[in-house]
Amino acid sequence: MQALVNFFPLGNADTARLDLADGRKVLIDFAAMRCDDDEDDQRCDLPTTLRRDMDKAGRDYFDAVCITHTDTDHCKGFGDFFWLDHAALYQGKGRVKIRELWVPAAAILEENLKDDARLVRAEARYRLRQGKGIRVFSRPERLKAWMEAEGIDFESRKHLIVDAGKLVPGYTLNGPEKVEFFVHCPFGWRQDENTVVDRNEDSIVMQATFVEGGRKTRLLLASDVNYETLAAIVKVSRKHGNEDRLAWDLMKLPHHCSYKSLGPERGSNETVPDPDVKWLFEDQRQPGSDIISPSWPIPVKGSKADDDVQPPHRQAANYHRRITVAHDGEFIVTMEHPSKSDPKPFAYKITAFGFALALAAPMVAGTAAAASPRAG
Amino acid sequence: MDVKAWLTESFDEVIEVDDLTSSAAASFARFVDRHAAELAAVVALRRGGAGELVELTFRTGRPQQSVVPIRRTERIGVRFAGGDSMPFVYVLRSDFPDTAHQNLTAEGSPRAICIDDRSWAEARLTWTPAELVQRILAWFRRAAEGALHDARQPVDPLMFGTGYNIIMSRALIDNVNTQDLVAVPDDTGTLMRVIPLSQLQGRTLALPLTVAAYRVPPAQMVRLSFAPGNLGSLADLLAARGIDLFADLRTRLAEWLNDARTNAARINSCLAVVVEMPIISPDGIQQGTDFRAFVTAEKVGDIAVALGIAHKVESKDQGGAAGFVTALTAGAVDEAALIAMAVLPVEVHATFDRDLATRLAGRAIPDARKAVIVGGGAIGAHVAPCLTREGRFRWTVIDDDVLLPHNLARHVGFGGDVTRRKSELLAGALASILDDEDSVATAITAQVGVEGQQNDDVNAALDGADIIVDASASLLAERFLSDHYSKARRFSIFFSPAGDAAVLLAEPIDRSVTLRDLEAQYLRHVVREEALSGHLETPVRTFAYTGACRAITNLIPESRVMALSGLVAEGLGRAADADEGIIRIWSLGTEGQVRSFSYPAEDVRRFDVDGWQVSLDAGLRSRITAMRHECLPNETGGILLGVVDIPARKIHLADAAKAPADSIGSPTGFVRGTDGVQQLIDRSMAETQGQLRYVGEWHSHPPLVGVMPSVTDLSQINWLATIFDMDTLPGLMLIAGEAELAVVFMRHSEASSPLAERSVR
Repeated sequence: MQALVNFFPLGNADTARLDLADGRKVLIDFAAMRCDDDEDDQRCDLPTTLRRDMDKAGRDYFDAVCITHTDTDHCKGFGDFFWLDHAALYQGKGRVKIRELWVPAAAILEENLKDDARLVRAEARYRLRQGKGIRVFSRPERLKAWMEAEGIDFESRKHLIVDAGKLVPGYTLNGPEKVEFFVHCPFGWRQDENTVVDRNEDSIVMQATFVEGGRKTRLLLASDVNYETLAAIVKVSRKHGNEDRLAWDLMKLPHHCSYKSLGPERGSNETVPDPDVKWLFEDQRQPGSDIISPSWPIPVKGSKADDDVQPPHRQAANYHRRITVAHDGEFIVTMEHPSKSDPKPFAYKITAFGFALALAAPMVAGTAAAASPRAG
Repeated sequence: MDVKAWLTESFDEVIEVDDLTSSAAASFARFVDRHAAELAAVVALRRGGAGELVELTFRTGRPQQSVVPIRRTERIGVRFAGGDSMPFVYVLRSDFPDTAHQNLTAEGSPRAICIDDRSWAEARLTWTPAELVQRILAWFRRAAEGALHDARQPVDPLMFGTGYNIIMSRALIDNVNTQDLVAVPDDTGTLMRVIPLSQLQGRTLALPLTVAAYRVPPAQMVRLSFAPGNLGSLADLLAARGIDLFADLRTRLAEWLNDARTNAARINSCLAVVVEMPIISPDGIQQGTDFRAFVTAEKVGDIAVALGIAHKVESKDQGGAAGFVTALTAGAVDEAALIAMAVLPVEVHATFDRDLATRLAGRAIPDARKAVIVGGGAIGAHVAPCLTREGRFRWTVIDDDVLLPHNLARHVGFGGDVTRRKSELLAGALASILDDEDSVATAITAQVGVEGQQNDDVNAALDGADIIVDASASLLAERFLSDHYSKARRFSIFFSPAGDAAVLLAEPIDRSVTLRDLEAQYLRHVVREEALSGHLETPVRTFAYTGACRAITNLIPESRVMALSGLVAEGLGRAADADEGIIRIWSLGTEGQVRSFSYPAEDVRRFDVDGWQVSLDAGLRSRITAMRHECLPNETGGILLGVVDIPARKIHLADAAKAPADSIGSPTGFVRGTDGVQQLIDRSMAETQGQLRYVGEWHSHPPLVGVMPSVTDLSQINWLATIFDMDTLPGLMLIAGEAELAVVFMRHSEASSPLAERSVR
């Protein structure tokens, strides 16, 4: 089976579905952003789209669902879509099950949460208590005190905790899944020192390495981290001789093309990246690599959106576009692909020749099969 | 090459979608706009002498690391020429790489990718713009992955595109200098058969043609990317492949001019340059050869003038019949004149020879093994031509029959062939299929397998064969062939009596299992395989073609004969390519459904006792072993079924039945019961047309006892010998021990001394 990396037009929000070579499915974030009552909302109906794929694959579960952090644009609709083990209220027909939930320690430790963030926390805490169906990304020390206070035996749960600098268990390049996940963030040192949890900077950053026909294709999933965290990741990786863990063919841009993930200053026309971040974006990219910006269309210069503090930032996009084109790559904005007027989900195939956009001519049969026509 | 200039020259008019006259072009342009925006965008619509062109940018889906330099987005032009031509896909980029699977375009045109090799007339029935888009996408994907063709496919495009074809035998191409040739056109003028002038009969329109043939050495072979349009570019093309066309033509033409009187016809004919190119697959292996021809409108003499070796003369007085004379001192080659001489690329169809037949059958290696087929009746007359068309075998057909009117129901013969010998008729048909220098088929009119008749020709043919195919539908002939001293491997093919099944018996290459052995094994399968029940039943309805009492023929329609013969031919070819022996049965249902049965040939052990030979195969041995094992510590046993050939003194044990329910087995003895025994014997006889009969008894011995007959056994063999004497057969008993089998054998006349042969299992 050909592995696929799927992206969805969700505005400024993240969701990526990895269809692995062995049929397993891994979802990185879940953000059902579309307003159902707004007909003009061009964002994709994520629950329907994902469910259709589930039906096609004949399954009702994801092998893993990773919530990189619990901001709304990464977990909106979690409680409506998934079957949650912790409460019967979130169980029922049509809900999609999660074999293994991946969360950063912050998602468990943070207090005063609302809505879906609270549900992610409840589910993660429940699973940790049960001792199964969960991976927590952090240094063990961070969780230890909380677990002791909660009366959860630490030693018997230790294997569920994945440290930065390690591979996520259960996924290897040599196995039929042909993929491995290397964890960059959250760091141990940061989490030890932090008293206040900073969600973005304590979120999960991973490098997924696929292999097909002997060729590796690396996907960098950088959540919403800022340039300081990226620079820290670069420094740590270099210190450990792990430069190749930052090589990438596909980059899911952090924080919806925010200049803050590049450098301290927005700039007028082009953001100037921090030196370590520049190294990541320019020296670590492989020939013909692509960047995916999970964001609204890039604002036109002088437009109202261009003044907005919220990403996407034109100046950051200009930098990425220039560098990407110079390296024979493509800079794809989820809400601009294939067109701003009609954005659609898209996928990359992982092939023995590197990644390739999955393209097919639209066919009547395919269209008809996906529709539910009614007659009166 | 300048794409822009080509575009404006070939499609000078820029039009709107409503102006498109080709409905396919319009539907394609609309499809792209409405449905395929993520893949492509129409840039312009054009019209010109060459048709209508939809110019668009197209997302190729190129992977990150493409094998050939394709861009993520390419500018392409899809030409709709109308009429009977497929939409043609140009890539509008002058540096688009030369890859496999491109159409050969004229010099000065952009490259065109070959996305569809069907004829448009056929393809348009189901053609949709989506399909076109999908095919373009697929082409780019395969190109990017270096997978435009599988390794066995030749690198060159087959289509030249001019629509002109000549047919010429390889032998003629190899000997073009020995005779004058003419090209005889068909009624369309586009298809010409090249034959020696001497074979031209009557008044026919014929184009005098002089052929200069060249062979590109495999090492020099490079793919053609453009079809040369004149003698100059043709010379360039050949130069790139190690051939100096002009130098060679100067030599050849000078020789003819020196004897202008004899060569007058040649000098005044058109020149066809035939180039034989090796077909090299991408993995570097030569797959065969391909011929291309380039025909000039100019006379050989005019070409000689341009080559600087001749002068044109105005009157016959000056230079004799030819109209051209040799230049006294050879001048320079007039390149400009040669470039002005247009050549028409023409496809050359070599006549259908063994190589071509082999390739078209999808096989790699020609199979010129010598095959003798005995029987030119229904099955032989269908299977042999089928295999011949697939490039298989040099044949000898042996049959003594003549073709009678009723044979036309199931034969290759025609009405005019009635009374001809089937051997000669079939051999003639086979020989006319392949244009091969070696004789494809010869005939021997003789009967095979009749006692006392020996035929030297038959013996020599069988002895010299690699393969002997029994298609005689006669048990007698099959057994004669099985026993013949020839070392050739044997096959037997036949239809079931009702014509609803066909059978192939194939010996293993070392002949360790013979046709006779396979016959017994086949009968066992017929009896054992429930789905084959009724397989050998004789049909109730037959047809008496004369009043004589044996002149009965079966009512099997030709359609069934053809269907089954095709299956047999395929099975026979495949079996002949493998070393293992095999039994195959194809059974054809009333609705055309086919069930196929396949059994490996089982190893045979033979016991020679007192002038008789008893054969026992591995399948039966293991069956007996299993039954013995199941009943331990008690003894068990049952009846034996087999095939007997009394004159040849051969008994083939085919099957051993398990103990009847009312048997009594103990650690020291076994009494075979009678329940169902008669029914089993009757059923076996019925299912096999009486060929599988009761031949004796078997029983097992417990461990440590050995296989020699006990006193009780001796009285049983005595009893068997007495009763089998009725059929002039010996009594036969088989004893199965721990590690051995013994065949105990006794004839009534010498009832006091049984003979036993043992064998380690």
